[in-house]
Amino acid sequence: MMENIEGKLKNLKTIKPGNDYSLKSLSLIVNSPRISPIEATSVWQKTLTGFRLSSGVVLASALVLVIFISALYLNTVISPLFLPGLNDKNISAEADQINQSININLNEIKYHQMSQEITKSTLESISKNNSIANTTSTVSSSVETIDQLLNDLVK
Amino acid sequence: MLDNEQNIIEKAIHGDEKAFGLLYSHYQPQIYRFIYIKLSKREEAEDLTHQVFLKAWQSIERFTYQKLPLSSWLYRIARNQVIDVYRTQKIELDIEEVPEIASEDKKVEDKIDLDEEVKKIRTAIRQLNPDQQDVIIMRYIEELSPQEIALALKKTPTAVRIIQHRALKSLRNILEK
Repeated sequence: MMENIEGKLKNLKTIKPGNDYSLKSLSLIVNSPRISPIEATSVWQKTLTGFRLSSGVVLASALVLVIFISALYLNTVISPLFLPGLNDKNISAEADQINQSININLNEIKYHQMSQEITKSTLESISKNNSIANTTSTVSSSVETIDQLLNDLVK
Repeated sequence: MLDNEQNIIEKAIHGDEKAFGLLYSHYQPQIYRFIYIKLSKREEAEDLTHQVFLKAWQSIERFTYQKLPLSSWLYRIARNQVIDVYRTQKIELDIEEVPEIASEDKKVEDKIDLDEEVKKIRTAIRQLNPDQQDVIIMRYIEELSPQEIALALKKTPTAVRIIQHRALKSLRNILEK
C-alpha cells in the first residue's frame, strides 16, 4: 500500500505550468528594475574606502578634540571649585571680613574696659588731690588716653 | 540541482539574465507544483510562482549569505507566499470546501493528464496539515533530501522524518476511507 502511495505521489510530477505563462513570467521578471548587487557593493565599498584613510584620521582627531573640550568644560562646570562658596578668593575675603569683625569686637571690649579703668583711677586721684592744677592735668591725660583708645577702635 | 549551479548562481547575482533563466527553467516547475497542489487554483499558482521568482531575482544576492541550497531557499519563499494567501483568503483545507480541479480548469486537467487516482491523492494531500503537505510534496514528488527539506522548513532532519512518517500514515488513512 505504501509503495502504491509513493508511486501515485510521483505521478503528480506531471503537473507543469504552461509554456506561454513561463516565458511571459520570465520575461517580466528579468526586465523588472533591479539594483545590481555588484553596483550596490561597489558603491558601498567606495564609500567605505573613502572613509578608511583620510576621513578616518579626520574623524578620529575631531573625536579626540571633542572629548578634550568636553572634559575641560565638565571640569570647569561640574568641579566643586567652581561653586561660588568654595572659591579661593571668596573664602579669603570672607575670612578677612570675619577677622575684622572679631578685631572690632575685641577693640570695643578693650575700649570699654580701659575707659572704665581710666575714669575710675582719674576719679580716685581727683578725690585724693585737692589741687586744681593736678586735677586738670589728670583729667586731660585721661581724656587723651581715652581718645587714643577711641582712635584705635575706629581704625 | 543544476550542473555547475554555483557558477550559474554567481552569474545571476551579477545580473546575468540568461543564467537566471536557467535557474528559472530548472526550478520553476517544482515551485509551481508545490504551490498548485497546496492551493488548487491554477491562476493563483501562476501568480504566486511569478512572485516567488521575482523575489528571487530581486534579492538573489541575499541568498548567498544564507548558505542554503537554492531549492530550499526558493521553497522558503514559496511557502511564505502560500502562508500569506492562507492568511488573507482564509483558505480552509477541509475537503468539502476544496473545489475539484477537474471542474475548475479543464485545460490544466487535459495537460497534466490526471486520472481519477491522481486526483484522489491530490485531494488527500490537501487534507494534511501544511507541514505534512510540504514534506510529502518535497520528499515524494520532488524527491528532495531530508536535509534540503529541513532547511526549507527551518526544521531538523529528524523532525522532517517524523513529519514524513505521520504524513504518509495520515495519507494512507485518508485514501483507505
